[in-house]
Amino acid sequence: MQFSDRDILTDLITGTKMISTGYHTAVLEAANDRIRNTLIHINNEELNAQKQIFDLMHSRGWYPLDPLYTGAPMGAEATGIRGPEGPMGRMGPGMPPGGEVRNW
Amino acid sequence: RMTEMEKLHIMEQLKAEELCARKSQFYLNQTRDPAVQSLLQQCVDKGQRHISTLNNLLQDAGLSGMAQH
Repeated sequence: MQFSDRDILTDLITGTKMISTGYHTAVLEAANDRIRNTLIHINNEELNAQKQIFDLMHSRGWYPLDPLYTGAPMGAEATGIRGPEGPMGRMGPGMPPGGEVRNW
Repeated sequence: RMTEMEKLHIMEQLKAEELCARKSQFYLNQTRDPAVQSLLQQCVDKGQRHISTLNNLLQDAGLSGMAQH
């Protein structure tokens, strides 16, 4: 079976995340300072590897990200709403709870 | 020198590192992309390095680690 580069990197980044999670838990439950510091060092290498994989995937559009939803009303040019009434009535998109009229 | 919990975590991580290194080695033959190949080779090297470090921790505590492949 042939895997695409995207398949390969997706599996790789999933693996590094799981391994890093394992090291993180191991660090939290380590009592011996030398063991703890060694696990922290290994985990840092794992985190750096994950970042490199992410950067390559992201640069090729293989790791889609959604921009932050702020809840702020969108501009009229995007929503088509021209005034406080809007096409969906007084509680349409962009209207605050309570329905008070604001002029954005 | 080592708690039972530390031993269990290290053994678990050894298995995970071994699997990751083997998969990366397998994927190396599946891609022709130099950037992907470079990352995969790094993962193989990193995995072997981590396996060696974890084995050393076990051996220092008087336990035998995972056999190197």
